Amino acid sequence: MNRLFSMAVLFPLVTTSVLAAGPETHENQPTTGEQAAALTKIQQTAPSEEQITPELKDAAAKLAAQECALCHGRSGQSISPTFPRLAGQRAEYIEAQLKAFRDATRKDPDAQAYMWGMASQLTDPIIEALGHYYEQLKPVAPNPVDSRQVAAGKEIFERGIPAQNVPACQTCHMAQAQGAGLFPRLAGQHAAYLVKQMNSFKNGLRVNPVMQPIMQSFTSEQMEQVATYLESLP
Amino acid sequence: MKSTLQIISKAGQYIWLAVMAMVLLWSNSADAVPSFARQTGMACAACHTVFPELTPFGRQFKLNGYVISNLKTIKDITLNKEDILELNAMPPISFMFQTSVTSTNKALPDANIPGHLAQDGTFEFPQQASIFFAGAISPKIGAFVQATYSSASGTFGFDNTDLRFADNLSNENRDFVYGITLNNNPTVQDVWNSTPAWGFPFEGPDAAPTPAAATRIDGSLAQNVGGASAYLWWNNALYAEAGVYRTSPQGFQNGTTGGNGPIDSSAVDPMNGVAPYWRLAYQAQWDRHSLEVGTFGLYEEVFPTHLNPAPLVQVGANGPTDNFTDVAADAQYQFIGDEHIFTVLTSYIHEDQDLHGSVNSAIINGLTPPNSHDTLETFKITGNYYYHRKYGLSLGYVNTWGTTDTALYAPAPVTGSNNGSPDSDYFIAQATYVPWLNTKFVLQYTAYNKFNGASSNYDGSGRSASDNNTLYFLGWFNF
Ligand code: HEC
Ligand code: HEC
Repeated sequence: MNRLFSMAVLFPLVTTSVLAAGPETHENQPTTGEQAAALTKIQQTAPSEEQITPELKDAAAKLAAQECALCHGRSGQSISPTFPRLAGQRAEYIEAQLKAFRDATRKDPDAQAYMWGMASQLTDPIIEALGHYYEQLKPVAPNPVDSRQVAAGKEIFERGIPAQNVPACQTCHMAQAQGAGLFPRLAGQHAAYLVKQMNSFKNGLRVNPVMQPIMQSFTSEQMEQVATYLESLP
Repeated sequence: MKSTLQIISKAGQYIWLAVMAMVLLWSNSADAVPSFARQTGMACAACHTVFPELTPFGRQFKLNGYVISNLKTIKDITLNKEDILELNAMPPISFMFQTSVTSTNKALPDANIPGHLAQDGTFEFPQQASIFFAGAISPKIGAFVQATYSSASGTFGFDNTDLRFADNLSNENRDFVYGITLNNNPTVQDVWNSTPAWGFPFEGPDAAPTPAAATRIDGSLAQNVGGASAYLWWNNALYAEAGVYRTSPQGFQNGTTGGNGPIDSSAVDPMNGVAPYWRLAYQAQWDRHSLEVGTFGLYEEVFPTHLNPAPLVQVGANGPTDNFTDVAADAQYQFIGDEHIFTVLTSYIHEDQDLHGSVNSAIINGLTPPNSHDTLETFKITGNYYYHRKYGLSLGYVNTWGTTDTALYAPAPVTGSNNGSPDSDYFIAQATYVPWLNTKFVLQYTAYNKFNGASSNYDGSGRSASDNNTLYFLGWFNF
């Protein structure tokens, strides 16, 4: 009940924010109508892959294995936490991020240093194919961790921090942190990467009207807790 | 008139370079970086901890033939949809400028520099200035070509060069790259900084005495050979390479004709046939750490003319040879965090010198060589620490030791050895400041414990090892 309520409140917020954070000008920019239609899919399962031709699928798989893998690892399983894991990440989220890198609207330091260049020449169709490619890859299950950190992180993820007006993360990132549509999968992600992103939201280096306010009152300790919990999730 | 114009144009060049350096120092954009960065659209930090040290991605970029490109390309295809042209819209050209001040603990004796007075404190502007062509040529071929003007030699010529073909056959189940490199310095093609060509110290004075003894693979062959090798890079873990080198000297004057360039085997130090080179390395990566352990080596047969005083008494390119076998082990550890970067580089090079060529013809320095067989060992270890890729501290130690050989290491002021021993050992301490990722300032101090065999009166002319202790300041600009 509670969850439905927060969805109802947050959904329009997300919709406007995602629209606001969308690409400003680009040749193949979808119309606002198309974007709005895409947004209604947020709560649904991944969109069908029918539009993606076999040639595009092959091109995406090749690009992923021969270039993206040099940082993001084979099959989207990166080793260093400088590089986020992409296996199982939501297709729509990947597409949105690649476009944000290409359009230089995702501005946190490592986004600029690494991904602005990588995404600069990607076309909309290959971006879409890359999104689907990574979504269908199976994330490797992490070793289970059981610690006070994890328990505290789980509490934050599932219930939020009412005293600080922080909503439960699972309302948007879903119960197993598996993500949906434009809400990224967080399960199994490198904890250090998650903390870096939370800090970037907090200090405004990564602009996002939904996540920025949520992170304002977060302490470093709370970031560590929730990130440790998230990395431990399969 | 002409000379005035030349002076003006030369001064103009320097002013231009100085202005460029200033602009870089104070400009507000960090995108003024060399051609690999322009080609990939990535900051230097993607490939380097602090240049020239490579990150794991930097190693991948090199092994993939320098071809990863995110630039607009000019294309052409045939009617069969075969790609026949894919040219980067921007030529991958960049520049490097190094200026330095070098001061030794005790000035060199005036007599050591005929016709000049020894000035303690050498200011070189530039020490080196280079032009690079560094980037993709076609989708599977790329190059790193450096042409350098060096103040010490007063010449402009080819510096480190690595041309490569690479093919990436990775897919969801394996990572696999193979390639071929053509280069002019054994280990210049290597991707770990524990090997000589790109090892520590990454920069150093050319206006201070350095120990006389060095193994062949440790810089002696740089730019005087040409080589080809083939390599495999499997699973981001195993690297194997094998190839050959052949003498290919630069800036050599032909002794017979007086013209430019060697004829046939008239080069200094010509090799008999080719010198095989090999390299094997294993890399493990976990979290933010990477560890490499490896081995490399070279076998070379040289017609011994190298230490001959003029006029050259040549054995002839079909006489007996001196044979050098270099076998080395190396290791590198890196931790690359967002704030802290820590690296350790180490190598041990063992050289076996079979000097029967020199012994048979009694030609080393005009002296009869006492030994037909020498060994030479070098051990190096360095730790580098960087904070935010901006401030760095390095500490290195180098120890070289080997067989005493009074012909190879003969007494001479400053450069010689009184007791014929090649033993030297020294520390290098360095502070690095990187205000912009493409600009680096280095303050370096080299402290000799032993130089050419001894700590005091090592040269037979009363010079102490510590007289050669060197303070060196370098400004390094890449754009
Ligand atoms: C040179 C290294 C490098 C390469 C190659 C690279 N990436 Fe990245 N990528 C990064 C880094 C670093 C980040 C994290 C940026 C940040 O911290 O904001 C990133 C982030 C991303 C993200 C955002 C993930 C998230 O959870 O928000 C996506 C999507 C992505 N990359 C896709 C790709 C694709 C597709 C390719 C190949 C076309 C690729 N990357 C190639 C370094 C690289
Ligand atoms: C109202 C919905 C919503 C809630 C609640 C929410 N998030 Fe998010 N989160 C998002 C959206 C949307 C994004 C993608 C932002 C973007 O596109 O840049 C995101 C992105 C993130 C990212 C970056 C992931 C990546 O791969 O780069 C992290 C980390 C994150 N959220 C953590 C949290 C945590 C922790 C909480 C709970 C305290 C939380 N979020 C609550 C909507 C939400």
